[in-house]
Amino acid sequence: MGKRFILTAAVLPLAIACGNYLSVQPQGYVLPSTDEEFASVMHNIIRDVEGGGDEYIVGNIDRLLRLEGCADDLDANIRLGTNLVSYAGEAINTMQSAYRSHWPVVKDCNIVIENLDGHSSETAGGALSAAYAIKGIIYYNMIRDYCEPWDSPESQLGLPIVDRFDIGDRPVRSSLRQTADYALTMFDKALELHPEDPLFFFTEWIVKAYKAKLLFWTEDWSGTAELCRDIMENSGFTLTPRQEYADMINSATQRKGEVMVRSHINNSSELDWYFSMVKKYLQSRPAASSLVALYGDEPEKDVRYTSSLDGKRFAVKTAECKVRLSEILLMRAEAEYHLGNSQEALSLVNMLRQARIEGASPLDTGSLPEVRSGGRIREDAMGKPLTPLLQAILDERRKELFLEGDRWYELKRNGRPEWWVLSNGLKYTTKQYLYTAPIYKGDVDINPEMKQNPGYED
Amino acid sequence: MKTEYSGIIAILSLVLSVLCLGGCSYSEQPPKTTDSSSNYVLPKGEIPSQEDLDEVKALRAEYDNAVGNNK
Repeated sequence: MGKRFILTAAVLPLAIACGNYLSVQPQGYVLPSTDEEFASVMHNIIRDVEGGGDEYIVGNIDRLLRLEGCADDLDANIRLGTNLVSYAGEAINTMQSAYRSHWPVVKDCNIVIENLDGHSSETAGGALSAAYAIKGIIYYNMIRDYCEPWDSPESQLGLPIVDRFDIGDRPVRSSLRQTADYALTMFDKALELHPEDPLFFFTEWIVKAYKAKLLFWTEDWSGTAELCRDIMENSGFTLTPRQEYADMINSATQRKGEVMVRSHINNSSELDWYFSMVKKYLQSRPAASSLVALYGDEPEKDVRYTSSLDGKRFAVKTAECKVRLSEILLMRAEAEYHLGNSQEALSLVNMLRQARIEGASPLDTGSLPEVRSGGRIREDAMGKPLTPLLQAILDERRKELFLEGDRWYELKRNGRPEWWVLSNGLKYTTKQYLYTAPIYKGDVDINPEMKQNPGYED
Repeated sequence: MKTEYSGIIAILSLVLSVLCLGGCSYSEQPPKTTDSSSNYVLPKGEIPSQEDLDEVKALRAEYDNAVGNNK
């Protein structure tokens, strides 16, 4: 009896010690175990996209505020405006912090992929394909923001490949080629699952649209042309005609016409008050005269002008991140141009102009305007001088995708031109290195193997 | 003899309890890694030349004329 008592007395403290330490589950949270619970992890992310809160997948008005503030469609030299960055140098620390915010989404996707891979239920298939698609889009967005434009991808810095959830793992940056290949694999895996359920948002044609955007960014011209042709011929989306353009482009919360995907489709989003406030910031800096000049002598005939700008050149277009069929058409036109199929490229440009400009006369190779001498973009994505045909494609792109966050990446893709703005009496230059944002400084400080992008020092 | 062991075991169990329970309040603060700032220093602006100022003046004049601010 005595021995048993002593033994119990000796072991009992070990059994009761540190009970709290082992209790790791936060109160009010559920560790997912069923297909439905893992699917809810994806639904939580999708809910953010639909409500307009997501800045890192489809993107939202905050993303546009930064991109349009850094780019030159709105002219900071005429008026700086309210709460818009004057140039990219001002957004350095916002961007390095934003780098961190992408990874929790990747982590959630990895948890779903690891736990649902091989499951046969429809819910598991939907959640799995959404996880692959979202991860692919996140990588695509980060390639554009945190990696240099495609040039010699084997030696250029890419991103860490985070393929599984491991809190102790510290992967370093792969090459740009490896990162792009990895993102492509994500899209292909999503497509293998034949995503059709709109509940999981990222259905087949949306995934294909983002895959086409990645192929375009990585200058795979034949892949881009082929996929864009597939989307244009088989997706069921058609170019919105001129008469319906304003309704489509300025829809507050509905996906209309040629819009394949957009954020903020929840018309009872808790962020509505915020969007109406931020929209005013975008309206506080007038459009650049170089953009307005592209609409020609009779700008009112171009529905993009009348639905985008008011009489004082301030933006009235609804600012939402989206992917539209016209972007697919323009990517295809540029890809055909680089493949040497000039007539095909020109006919696509004419198709778009017919759908936007009242009485548009078709352009032909002989009547294309000469390359403007003072244009900001002077060389194409391959480093060659601009030609009249490519200038026509890029001009249509600039008008078409105004206030959709595209211009910054156009400048980055086509030679990273340097230019300056005056702010508070000083001149700030958008230097070449600023087109590539810094990755999170804390990651570089803590891990000597982690390389920062050129140009960023303490 | 038996009493001697009992005493030692009792003392050991007491010490063990104190050690185990005392170690329960672990620090939740992450280890300090660096004293460096978490931000990069932003690029500095330059004094614009007269040519730069003239260029901006011309841009603003074009804008004012085009939108009717001068009327």
